Amino acid sequence: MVRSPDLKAKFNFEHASVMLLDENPLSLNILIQVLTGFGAKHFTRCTDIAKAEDEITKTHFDLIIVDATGPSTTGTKFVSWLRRSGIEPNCYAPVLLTSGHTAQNSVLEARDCGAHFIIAKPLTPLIVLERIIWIAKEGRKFLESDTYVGPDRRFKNVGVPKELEGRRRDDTSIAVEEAEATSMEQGVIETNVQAQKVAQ
Amino acid sequence: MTGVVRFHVPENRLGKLIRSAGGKAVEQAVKDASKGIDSLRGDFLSELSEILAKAEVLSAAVKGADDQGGTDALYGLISASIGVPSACGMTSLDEMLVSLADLIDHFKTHGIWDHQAITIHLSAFRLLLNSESARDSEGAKAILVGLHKVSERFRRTPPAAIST
Repeated sequence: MVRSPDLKAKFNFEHASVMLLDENPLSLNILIQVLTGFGAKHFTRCTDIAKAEDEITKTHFDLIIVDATGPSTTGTKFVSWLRRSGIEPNCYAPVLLTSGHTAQNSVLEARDCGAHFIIAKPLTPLIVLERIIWIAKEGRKFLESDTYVGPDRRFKNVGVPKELEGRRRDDTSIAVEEAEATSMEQGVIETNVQAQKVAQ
Repeated sequence: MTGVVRFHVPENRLGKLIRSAGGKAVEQAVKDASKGIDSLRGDFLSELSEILAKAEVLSAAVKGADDQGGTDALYGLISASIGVPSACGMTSLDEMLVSLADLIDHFKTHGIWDHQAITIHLSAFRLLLNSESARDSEGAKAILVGLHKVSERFRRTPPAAIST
C-alpha cells in the first residue's frame, strides 16, 4: 500500500535520468513541470515509440514514465518491448504508466505489460511523488516467464486466490495438512509468548 | 505453467539516487511542482478550445458504429486530453472528459453509436470551458449529473435495443 510521504522528508532527484513517452505534448508539459518541481534536470522527451526505443539504446534511465491513453496502445506496447528487449539496465528500469482513460479491451494489456504502477490522470504532484518514492524504496523482484516479464505483481503476499492452485514452488497448499509432530503444551506457549497490555 | 520462471532483484539505482545528500523536502517539491503547472494555465485554455473544435469536427464526421477510424480518432483525442483541464483548475471539465471517453469506449465495445449523446457531451464541454458560472460547484454538478444520466441510459439498455 502506498503511504503519503512525510512532508518534511528530503529526497534527491537532481541526478536522476528520466525518460517520458507521451503522444500528447500537453500532458508531456504537465509532467515536465511536475518533475522539474521535484528537482529533476535530466529529461528525454519522446512523443512516439520509435524515438523512445532509440533512446533506450543510448542512455541509462533511472525512471521511465509512459502514457498508455487512447486507442493506439503505444505505451503498453513500448513497456512490453522494453521488458523483453534485454537492453540492460534499462529493461529493469522502474516504469510508471499514466492513463487518462483505459479502454475496456486494453485493461489486461495495461496490467500485464510490465509496469511498476499505473497512475490515473489527472496527475497531482503529490500522487506522482508518492509513487516515485514508493518505487525507489521497495526494490521489487523481477520475474521472467514465457507470458510475463516485469516486476513481481504479487508484491503484497496475500496468498493464492481461493479457487486457484498455486503456480509457484513456494505457494502453500490450500488444504491444511495433518500435523507432523505433537502440538506444543499450553505451558510452553505461555513461557514463550508473554501477554502484554495494548493501548486502545 | 510449463515454462521456466526466473526471479532476480535488479540494482535499485533510483533508490540510491533519491537517498543521496541534498535535494528537497517533499512539501517544497510539491509546492514547486504546483507552481510549474500553474505557469501553463494560459496556454492550456487556448489549447482546450482547439481540442473542443477538433472534437466537434471529428464527431460530425463519424458515419456510425462501423466507422472504426472515426470513433478511434474521437476517442483518442478525448482520452488524451484528460488531465489537461485539471492543470487549469477545471476539474469538472476533466470529469466531463472521463464521462465522454467512457461513453465512446462503451459504444466501441458494443458496436453502437448515438450521435446525440456525443453532442450533449460536447455542448457541456463548451459550457464548462467558456462560462465561469457553469464551472462553479453547483452549476458543474448539475451538468455532470445530466451527463451521467445520458451515459447510464446506454449502460442499462441492452445494445440491441438502442437504435443507432
